Amino acid sequence: MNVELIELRDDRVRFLLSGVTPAFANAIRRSCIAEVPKLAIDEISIYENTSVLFDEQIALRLGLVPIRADDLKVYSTPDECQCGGVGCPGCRIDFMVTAEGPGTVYSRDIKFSEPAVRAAFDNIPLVVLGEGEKLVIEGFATLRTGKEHAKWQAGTLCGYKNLPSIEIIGCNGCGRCVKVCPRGVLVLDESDTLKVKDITECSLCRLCVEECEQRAISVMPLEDAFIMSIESDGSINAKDLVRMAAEELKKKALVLQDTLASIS
Amino acid sequence: MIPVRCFSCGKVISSVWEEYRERIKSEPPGKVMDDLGIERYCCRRMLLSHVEVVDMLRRYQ
Repeated sequence: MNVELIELRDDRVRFLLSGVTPAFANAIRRSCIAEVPKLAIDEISIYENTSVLFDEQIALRLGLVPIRADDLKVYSTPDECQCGGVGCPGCRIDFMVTAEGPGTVYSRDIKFSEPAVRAAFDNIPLVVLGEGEKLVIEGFATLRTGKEHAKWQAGTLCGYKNLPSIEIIGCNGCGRCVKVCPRGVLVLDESDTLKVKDITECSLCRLCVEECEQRAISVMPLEDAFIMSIESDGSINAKDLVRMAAEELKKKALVLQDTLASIS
Repeated sequence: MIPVRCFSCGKVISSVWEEYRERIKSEPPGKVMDDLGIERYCCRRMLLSHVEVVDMLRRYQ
């Protein structure tokens, strides 16, 4: 297995994963989506809401706000917590939202009881309050996985594609394929030789193959190399997300190993 | 109110809404969205097609 980084940002990582089966690449992808635990607002009590939005709408909006913690390892999911899911500081992070109009309530107004926990974005508008309108909400956030609800899904857009390979044999340099390529993968250099500029951009549409009268181009996906593209919702850095996804996979494999050992 | 996330991909788009709303008064929306890192068309339609009804409703509260 070989990993080569293509792009790394806080919210997105693209890397080339080669020498693995499609099943493994897909396991990483699915793990990013459904297995990595993150914090999200779970239950709220609305003491006062005289805004134009219904209680349910505000609850939904609060749930979708990504929440960031300095260290997620400090917390545990309610099912695995020592308290047995009753609710303790280890599995619940309390918060308060109090606001009075006129003005907009933003995600930064969610005040958590722990300073290490905060909303990943400061300026998500939650509700607009008019003159004299009030909002008093109390509740808690929990650590869970995307399997349970999309609000606990740390990886939003996770996907992969096979690495394309473009072979050029017998090209006469007419340049028609360069014009037809929607992603600008192919270029002609000064001596009219066809070159591949950025192979990772190729979407395997094969328009260049159809356009070429010389039949000089062949585009094929490589079966064991994948361009993974993982995007996070902001609650976990994309880099950490992939690492945690791999750790979750490893945990599952160990459980399988132990179970198989106990049977035999 | 602008939805917190994009319906299709789940990217948080509401965090750029207020800046977007201010800037489209003087700039083309497409360029503003490029600037704000709203790349995919699913996210772009969220901002482009949003009508802020709350401002209208508030008068009758």
